[in-house]
Amino acid sequence: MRQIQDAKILVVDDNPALLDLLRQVLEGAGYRHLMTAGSCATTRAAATKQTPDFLVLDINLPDGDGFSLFRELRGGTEVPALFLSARDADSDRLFGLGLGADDYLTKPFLTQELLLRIQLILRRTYRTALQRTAAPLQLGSRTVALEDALVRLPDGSTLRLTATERDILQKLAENRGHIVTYDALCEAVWGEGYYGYENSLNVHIRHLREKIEENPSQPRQLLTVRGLGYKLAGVETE
Amino acid sequence: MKPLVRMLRRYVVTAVAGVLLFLVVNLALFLGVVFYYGRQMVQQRQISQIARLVTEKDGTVTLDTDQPLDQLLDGWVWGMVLDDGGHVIWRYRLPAELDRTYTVPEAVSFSRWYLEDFPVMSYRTDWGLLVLGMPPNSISRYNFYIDNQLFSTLIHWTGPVLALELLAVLLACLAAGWRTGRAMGELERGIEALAAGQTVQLAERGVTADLARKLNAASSHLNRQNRIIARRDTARTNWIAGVSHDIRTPLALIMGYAEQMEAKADLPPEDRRRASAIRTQSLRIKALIEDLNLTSKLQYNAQPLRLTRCRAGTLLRRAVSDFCNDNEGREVALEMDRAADQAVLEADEAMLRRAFANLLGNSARHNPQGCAIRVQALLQPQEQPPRLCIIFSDEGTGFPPTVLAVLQGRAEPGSQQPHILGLHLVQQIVAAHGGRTVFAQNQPKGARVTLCLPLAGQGQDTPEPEKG
Repeated sequence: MRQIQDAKILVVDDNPALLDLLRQVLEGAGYRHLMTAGSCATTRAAATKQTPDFLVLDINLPDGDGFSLFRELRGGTEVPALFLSARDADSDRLFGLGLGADDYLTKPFLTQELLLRIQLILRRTYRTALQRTAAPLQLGSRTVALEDALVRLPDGSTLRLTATERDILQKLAENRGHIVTYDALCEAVWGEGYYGYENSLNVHIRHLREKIEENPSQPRQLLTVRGLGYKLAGVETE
Repeated sequence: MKPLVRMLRRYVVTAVAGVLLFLVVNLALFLGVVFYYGRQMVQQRQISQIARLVTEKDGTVTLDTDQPLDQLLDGWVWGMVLDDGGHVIWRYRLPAELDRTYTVPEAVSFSRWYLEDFPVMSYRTDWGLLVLGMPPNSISRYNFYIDNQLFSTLIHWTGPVLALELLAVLLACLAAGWRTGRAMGELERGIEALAAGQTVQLAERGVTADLARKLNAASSHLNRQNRIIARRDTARTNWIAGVSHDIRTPLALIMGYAEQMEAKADLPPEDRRRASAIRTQSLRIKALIEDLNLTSKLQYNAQPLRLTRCRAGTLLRRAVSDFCNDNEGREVALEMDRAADQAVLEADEAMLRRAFANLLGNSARHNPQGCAIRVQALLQPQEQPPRLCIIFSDEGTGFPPTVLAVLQGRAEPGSQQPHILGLHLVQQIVAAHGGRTVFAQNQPKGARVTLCLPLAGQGQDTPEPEKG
């Protein structure tokens, strides 16, 4: 897999109209290998024909339920999955995630949100394969190769990111254009029980700015959102 | 058992006091009667006193007194002194038919009974037998005989027997009191259980059988009603959950296609704006469905809270940043000191974030032109229990008066009430966490909502009653 759009995605829903919409949305986002199914039986047939890289599963299906189907398909492989269901009860959500699904999104949903979640899971799951070919992160005139932890300056020279700086930038890049709270950043870097690392985070952010910003005292890429956290400026602002 | 003991003690004390009062009243009556008639008797001079006056003067028996005889013998109608031969040797107003010689049997007879219907008293003097007569039918005479052994036995045992009888009365009172108290105790427990919403099935026996029967009937009636209410509540919750489930997929299609159209660069800008409006309104419907579903579940306790310990700062930063991410261009000033930031709440994070999102969303939706939005968190450790108060305020249009009246519980019953599902849900979520919500107008303008939540490990405020 060179890029996430190469992933083979199997979308399962009993509503043909919704299935059609999902196909359009995913194709619009550049996903080229799509399979769709409206029942457990057709899902099994499709999965047998070609092993999917990602599953989008409805729960209520005419000949069974998405939970059992997920268990069945997940039997031998660690294929990532997202439940997309009208069932919004906490118990359903927890059951689905407890089975090992990577995410649970309730209908109705914003298609952009669905795409972001799929993208996030694919990047996380296939990080190693993707990193070899991932497009560099463009930050103004500088580019960052996250897999190599290298910042390339316009003059061709490079700056090396520390592991912590790389993790911070990775988290911000995954949510580009959106605020990421101090807490979410600390948790991404130091895991749960990060309390007390807030000051360290500020230090790492300062060092990161020195590497990715042209003028670190007036940052244009890594922006502070006062009282909340940080934001990596959206692509359109570049 | 305290009420039972109290009831028993009161019952026994009352019973014993009643018995003692009865005895005292009777004794007083008896003494009163005796005193009243005794005084009359006292006025009549005793025969022994008169007997001491009998003497002989100049060979004639007479009474040695200067007092007139009518006065001395007041109360007696006649008198005589008999010598040893039964002859009358002194007389006072003696009826003619009695002025005769008496034989020994006659003397013995009248000394015990009557002399020609006159009750008489006799007393032996040195000069003969003094006999005084009273008016016929003035007194009754009886002769009593009692065996000496019986008499001494009576004297000996009267005290202990009376004491035993009193003890028996006391024990009888105690036993009756205990039985009644026990029955009342069962009734009391039954009423308490009924008040706590439990089923009551008391044994229908004894003095309280009738009451127990009525209590059992009340309990089964309440049970029946509760079952009906529970069935109705479940049906309503299921209906709302069902409708909200069924509407989700069609809404997903509407939202999805609206998004697609909005992103289509080759569509005229007007059509793209329309698509955007469809998407925005669909999102509102989605939020309304979720609010309706959750409020119904919270109202009928069908939504268990998934409580975890979480830091207030983390929770608020996430809620505010989610809002800012979803509402580009909107800014929220989040203010809290270190203590408030690190305050730990025991909360259903997702649900509290939902409440926060509703409040922030409200400020944004009702002020489309934009306005300053502020979120402050203040730790109030001096309050009991210690609480964290989170204030959401804006400088927008504020609450309409009718909405504020409903939120503050001031609305007239039966009046046309505005629909405030989102804010009602905030109240419910905060109440489910043991906190309180205060809605007010912000000064100088805008709306202000204060949520006070107990800190983890602290007691909870009394939940506000559910508003219909």
